[in-house]
Amino acid sequence: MIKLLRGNLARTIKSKTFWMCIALYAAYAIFLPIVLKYQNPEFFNGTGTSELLLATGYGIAGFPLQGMFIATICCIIFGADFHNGTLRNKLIIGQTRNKIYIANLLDSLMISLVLNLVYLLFFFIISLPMCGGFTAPSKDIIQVLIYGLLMMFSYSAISTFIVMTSKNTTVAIIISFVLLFVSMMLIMYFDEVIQQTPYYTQYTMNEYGEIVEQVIANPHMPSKSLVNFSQFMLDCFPSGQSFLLSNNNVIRWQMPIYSLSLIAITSGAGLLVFNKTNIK
Amino acid sequence: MEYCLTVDNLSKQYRSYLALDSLTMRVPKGAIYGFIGKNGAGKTTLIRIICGLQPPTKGDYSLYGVPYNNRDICAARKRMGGIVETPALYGQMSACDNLKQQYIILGKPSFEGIEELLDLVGLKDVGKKTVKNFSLGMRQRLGIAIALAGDPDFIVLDEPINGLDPQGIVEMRELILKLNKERNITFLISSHILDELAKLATHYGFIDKGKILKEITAKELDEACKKRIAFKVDTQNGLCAALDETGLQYKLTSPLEGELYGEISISELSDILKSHGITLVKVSEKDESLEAYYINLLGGDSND
Repeated sequence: MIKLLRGNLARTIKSKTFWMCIALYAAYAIFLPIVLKYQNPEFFNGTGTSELLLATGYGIAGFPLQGMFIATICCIIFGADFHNGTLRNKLIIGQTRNKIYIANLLDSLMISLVLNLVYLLFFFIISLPMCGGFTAPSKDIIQVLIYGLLMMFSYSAISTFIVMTSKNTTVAIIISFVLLFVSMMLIMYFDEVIQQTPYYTQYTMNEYGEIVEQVIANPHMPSKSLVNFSQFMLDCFPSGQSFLLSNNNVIRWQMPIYSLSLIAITSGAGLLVFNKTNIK
Repeated sequence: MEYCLTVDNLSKQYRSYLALDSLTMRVPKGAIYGFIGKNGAGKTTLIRIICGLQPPTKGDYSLYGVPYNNRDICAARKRMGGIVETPALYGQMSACDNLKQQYIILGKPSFEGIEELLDLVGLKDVGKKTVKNFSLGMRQRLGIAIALAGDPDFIVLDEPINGLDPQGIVEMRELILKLNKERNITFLISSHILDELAKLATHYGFIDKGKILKEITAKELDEACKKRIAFKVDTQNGLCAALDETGLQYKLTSPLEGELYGEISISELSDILKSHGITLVKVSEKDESLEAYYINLLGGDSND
């Protein structure tokens, strides 16, 4: 498997798509603090680099940019094996399908890691001179870094699953992007559901001209099961986690467990399907 | 006899379509095995199965005596190389980079030998040209170089001369013969360009509708196809002496009928027989090619 992984890494390093995504993500890491500085200069008063990192959700904005990058790189690199037929070269010489799948998964995890490191590197290069050193509690920073990394790993596992089961680069990219877009829409809906409160305060003016405060039951309050389901979806899926991390204040302990479970489930299902696939 | 590949009662079913139907075949070590059949006969399906791309529905096959469902099959596959349908290459990479990629996957400690391989297949001077700009012939040759990267002793080629120009066909033939002679590599070559295969193969397997119709050596095929004169005479007295006088091999199929193998004019044969008091009653020339043999085997159905 090490041989396959080495082969994958050699191709990844030579891939223009990989370097293009790295460059775009680096540009995002550079421009994000600059744009924030000009849009909201008050925010930078007394804000350290670490606070800025947390406030920007560790670059994991609500828009699943990393998911798009990971899906694009994985689909193009692993899809090439199906498109060019080079998967046959691996199977003919006795590499097993399990090894091929796991090597691809490890490569996609490494791609996520590299994207993370590139983001951090460029973010710090720009933010440190602007905001100074680290002031936020290191526990919070480490927590966000780990949760964010696991979230990106689950994007990698899903992308690997899609490309290895669809067996086609274009189809895999379309499926990945449609899923990302649909999940983004759903996440917004789920967030709206969990933001609903059972009661809300209504202010009215009575006949004496006084403002009266009334607590009224929310007529649109969703059922408890729908709220729980929405919370689960937000916690579980990488787009939801990306949304929660970008809001910084709603980091939940279940998120890494769900990420690891998602990696295990998609990889298990991917191995099962890939082992039964007829390769042409 | 030692076999690289043995296939026993192998079947492959795609939904309602039976692509291989209890197929049995043997590829001897050191042979160039010509695998002949119409389009859709099941050649590529069998090749995909033995290359590990698809599992069989029923039956068994063994590589170097190792059954396909044995754990050691991966080790046996390391002794194998192949091109299935089209050469599997990374179009964005150069020939050298494609070979480097295969070397890495094979776990070779260095890239030593890549230059020699490119030289062997005639691609030494392609430089950094990417494979997507290669001609079909160049791709085929690079495909063979990749198949050779693991120093295999069994190579499977599926329609290797399809789409090649005449020069490319000659080069491919010479390369296969060279590798077979110098490196003792066994080849399994599927093709429906029979004339070309006839110049290479030492063994043949004829497949139709997913079944092997016949397996035959090139020598046996030569015997079956060689130029012959079928004759009928009026008496058997002195017939053997007269046939011996022709200096050709012959076979009597009945007391008054037989076949002479080789070239002799009919008037010369008639004169020799007459000198022994025998009259030639009926005579016909037969000259069968591999193609004619194949068509006869299919029962005259040659819809290719």
